[in-house]
Formats: sequence, C-alpha cells, structure tokens
Amino acid sequence: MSETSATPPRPAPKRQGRTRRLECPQCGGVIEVRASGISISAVCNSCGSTVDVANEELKVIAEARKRTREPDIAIGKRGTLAGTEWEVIGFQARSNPREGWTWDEYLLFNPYRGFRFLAHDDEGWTLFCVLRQDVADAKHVEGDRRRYEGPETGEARTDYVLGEFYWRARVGDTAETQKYQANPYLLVQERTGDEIVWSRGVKLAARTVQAAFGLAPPQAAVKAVSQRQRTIRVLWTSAAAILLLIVLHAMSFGASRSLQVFRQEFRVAASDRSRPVVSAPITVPDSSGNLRIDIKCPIQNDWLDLNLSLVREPGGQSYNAAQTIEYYTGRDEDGSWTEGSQEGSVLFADIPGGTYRLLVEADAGAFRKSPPRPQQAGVNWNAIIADAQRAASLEPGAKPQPAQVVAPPAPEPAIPFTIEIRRHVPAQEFFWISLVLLVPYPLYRLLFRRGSQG
Amino acid sequence: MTSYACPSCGAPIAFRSSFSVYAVCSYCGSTVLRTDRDVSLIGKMADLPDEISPLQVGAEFTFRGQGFMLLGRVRVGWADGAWTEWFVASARRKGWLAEAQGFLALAFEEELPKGLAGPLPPLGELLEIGKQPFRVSDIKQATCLGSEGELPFPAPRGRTATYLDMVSPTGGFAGLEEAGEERRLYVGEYVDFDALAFRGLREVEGWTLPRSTRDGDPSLSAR
Repeated sequence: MSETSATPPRPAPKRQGRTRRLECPQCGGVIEVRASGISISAVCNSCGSTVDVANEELKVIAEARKRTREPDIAIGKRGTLAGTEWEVIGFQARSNPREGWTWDEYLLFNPYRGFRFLAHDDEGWTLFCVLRQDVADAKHVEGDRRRYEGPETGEARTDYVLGEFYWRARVGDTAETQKYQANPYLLVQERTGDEIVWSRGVKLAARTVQAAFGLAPPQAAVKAVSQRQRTIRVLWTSAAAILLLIVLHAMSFGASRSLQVFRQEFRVAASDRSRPVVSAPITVPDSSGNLRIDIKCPIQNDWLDLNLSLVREPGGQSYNAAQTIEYYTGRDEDGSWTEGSQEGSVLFADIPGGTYRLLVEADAGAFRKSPPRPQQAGVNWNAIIADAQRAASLEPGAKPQPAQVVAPPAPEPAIPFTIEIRRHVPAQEFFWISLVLLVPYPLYRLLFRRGSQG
Repeated sequence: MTSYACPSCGAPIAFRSSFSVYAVCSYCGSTVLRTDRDVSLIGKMADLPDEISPLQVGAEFTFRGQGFMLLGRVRVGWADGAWTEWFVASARRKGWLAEAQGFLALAFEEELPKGLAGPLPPLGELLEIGKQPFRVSDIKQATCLGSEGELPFPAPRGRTATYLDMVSPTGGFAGLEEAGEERRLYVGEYVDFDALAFRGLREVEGWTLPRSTRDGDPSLSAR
C-alpha cells in the first residue's frame, strides 16, 4: 500500500447509535427502535399496532391491540447477565395450545454481542442463544459433549407481543418445537415452515435474573410452579374429579329420581314356550324419557331367554328387546367358580309416555329336557292383547297382578323371575364416558411428564 | 493509502487497500472507479439509513494472526429486513464480514466447486465445500440499499442478487451470491465479536464496550 503525504482527516462518521424514533402510521405516537437497522418489526407503545420498521416507509403489520399484559421486565430495562449488559427490546407471551402451558420470552440486545432470549416459565428462567451451526442430530452437536435427552415435542404460539424484533413478530405465529435436556442446559429446535432454528439455553437462578433486572423476588417465587408440582396438581385434581363423579353416580343411583312403573313376578314352564305372557296395562308417565327393564331370576346352572315386547295401546307400536340370563356354578381343582349373572336389564333410551303392555316370551335350558309341546305357528299379538283387554274389562279396577300365568302341572319344572320397569333411570353411559375422558391426561402426565424436570 | 480527489466535489477520497477498485465519497456520496491514474465518477449514492453497530469503515481486527481493516460496506435489504456486508482486507487477503441479526460471519472468496455450478441447490440441501459438509440454511433475493467506503466491485443502489447461506456442523459459513450470470462463493465461519479483538470501533451512544474475557464472550456459556 502506498501513501500520499497530504491525507486530510476523514470526516466524522454520519451514523449514530442512538435509539431511532419513528412516528406510528396508525396513531401518530412514538415508536422507539432500539436495535436500529436490525429490528424489522416494532409494537407501538401507544396504540399496540405492530409496525414494519424494516424500510423507511412504515407499514402496519397488525392492527392496534389492547395492552393486556405488562411484562415482569419492562421494555427498555437493562441488566447484566453472564457478564454482558443486555437491554430488553422485545417481549412475547407464548403458549403451547395443546397442553395449555404458557411462558414469556424476552428479546435481549447488546450492540456488541447481538441477541439472546430470556425465557420465563413456571420452572424458572433460561437464557437462550441461537446456534449458528448445522445441527443434524441433537445428540451429536459439534463442540458440545453434553448428553441431551429428549425430545419433548410441543408447539409454541405467540399470544402477545410488545417491543421490537428482528423478524416480523406477529400474534398467532406458531412453531413446532423439540426440546432436549441436559440439566442445566437445553437444546431447542423451532420449526416454522421451511426455517429451522436451534438454540441452546442455560437455566439461571431466579435470584440472578431478579438481581440483574431489579425485580421483586417474592411474587416470582410464589408463582413458580414446577412441572413436577403441576403433575401432582393434575393428579390431585383428577382424583378429586373422579371421586366426585363416583359420588354423584352413587347418589343418583341411591337417591334415584327414577320411578318404578311396573313390577311383577312370573313363573314360566315348558308349556309356556312360545306363548307370550301379557301383563296388565302399564302407565308410563311423562311425554319422553328412558325406560329400563330389570330382570332377576334365581336360576342355577341354566339359561333363560326372554323376548320382551312393550306394546303401546292403542296403536300397537312395539319396542322389542331380547335378554338372556345365564348363571352357572361349580367346583373344580381351583375351587368353586361362578359364571354369568342372575340379573339382566334392557334400557330403552327413549320411550314416549302412554299405556303399554309387556309381552314376555320365555325359553330356558330346563324346558328342553322335557318333551316340547306343539308350538303355535305364529304369535298373534293383537289377539293376545284383545284377550288380555277382555280379561281386564271383566274386573274393573283390577290392579296389575300376576294374572295371566297359566299354572303348570306339578311335575313340570317352572322358572320364577321378576320383571321391574323403571322410568327416568340415571344413564350409566354418562358415568363411563366421563371416566374415559377424565383418566387419560393424568395417566399421561404420570407416565411421561413426571420426570421432565430433574 | 492512496488519495484522489473526488471528481464530483473535489474532496479527497482515500483508497486504503490495493484490492479496492470502487469507493464512495464520504462527503458527497458519489461512487468513483479507480483506474490506474485517476478516478472517474460512476453515480451518486444515497445516504445509508442509520443503524446501531459498533463497526465502521476504518476499524481493524485480528483474525488468525492477520490484521484486517474494514474498508467499505454494502447495506443489503430483503423482504424481511436488511444486513450489512463489510468489505475487509489484510495485506494478503480480501474478504467480507457479514453482520446480520447480531451475528458476524467472516468469509473469503473461493472457487466454485462443481456442486454449485449447476442449478441453485434447494433449502436444506447438503453439499460438500472444501471437504466440509454444508447445509443450505437460507435463500433470499436481496437488493443493495446503499454502500460506503471502498469496494471491490460497484454496488449501486438497486443492484439485486440471490443470496444463499450455508452452515456446517462446526459453525462454518458459506455464502453464494448470484447476480445476473455471475456467481461468487465465499467460505469462512461464524465469528464471535470478542474473538476478533476489534480496534477503532465506533462508540455506540449509551453503551459501553463489553469487557471481553480470555474465553471470549461469557454469555455464550454453552460453548
């Protein structure tokens, strides 16, 4: 390099490092830009609009929003962390909408050392730095020998912004996240469309951040709930909810509002096979509601098949159901055993109110042992009902009674059973659906989130 | 240093590096071309927008034992922001120090490997440059917003180019610049501010130069 002797002093640089002040195109208020020339979006302090400050011509990115949150560390505040003085220039409230977690992120700036992110969640504070290297695998990060565990996948949505950013920060921005841990270090991948950004973070003691930015310690300490505590909270809440559900269920069964509309004891014999027994008229109150038919039968080592038909009068509209009751007991090398049940029930979800007769057709294993009687070719329900009506009209005011049972001859085996019909029965499904909805999340937390904090 | 008179306003224009061919007059903003004997006027450059940075033309730094000086800068803008490319040179080498989003990357021109001779590789593509694996991390169209100081080529306002950034697992950086038919490849690495031991920085109002430790920036704790 050659030099001439007459070199005049260079003029003073025109550029300056102070905060740039811009006029908000939305409200005319002042927008301060602290990382001038680097920040490309800034939120107006007065009206909350997000403004594109990348170019001389300012554009509104997002309309004015109400200022709904004050960050714990105010925009413009400075503090020294890890040997560097940082100024808070941006604030984002973010959340994982899938799990309902929320956290805060502060964008820190130093003109010599660039940017850092200070995250604050219920576990505490973490200082993040974006990695400028290709990370193909979080378990093998060049220059970082820590053994990271993970990933824990999630989503990060921006719910609220204040201050300025070197990207176009917007409420609603969403990134897919993967978190790896090697306490107190973290590796986080954020993916937005094509862009993948890796950051490494180190957890900071709350008092370090409080001292750096002059925060009041008690509030932060009280607010802090670790993920582990959160899991415990979820478990307790779920346990309480399940207990409450069981109590409610038991209560609705015990102090049932359900109404008994019919009860009758039946005895059927082989001779009754395929000959339905018809009940007296049953009055079902209220225009709509469910109806449950409960059957109890002290059967032993046998089965009972019942064809039930609720026939409405007049009109003959019928509601049919079949129910089998089987009960077997015995003894084997393992001891005594039982199989099946001596009870059964049929639930009709919606039966209109009115007068009904119950038609019961029974068959049982015991009947097969005795020679079957000749069967009727078909069942003429109307004829049977007409018979029953005629019988009822002969005895006006007669109460529903076990009247239509034909008494079998003595040697023929007869099977006794009771049928009870109830209106407005508490639905079991509600209980089971609620239980199925309540159980998975606490179970998931118990199994997979318990150890998320070491 | 070689000094010429600006053909537009007569103010002195200093060429600090023999690598520099173009310079922007710091008084009137004219771009001048250095020929063997004289300088000729090319056009006028608008003032660059104000930006916060401690770097300035004339600042010096040390990289791998070699002293470099910042000779000129090009401000490049794209749809979502802007960054600065500083033209730097030592007695033996010339290169570019990119300053973007608070990061610095120093790169030197290299010959195009075969993998970069054909169509531009897509985002996420892995390729080998100098036996190192590089992944394409960013591709953008950008426009020159203005320039200052000495430059190895004319960078008129409005000059557009495609910039392709690549990163390696060890923090290596490579940038491919395509303007028209011309393709240039710059290969280097991301560098910490502290590691370059800057001298002659511009004072940033309201900020003090951080005390650098032996290990460099202490806030890069995980390194």
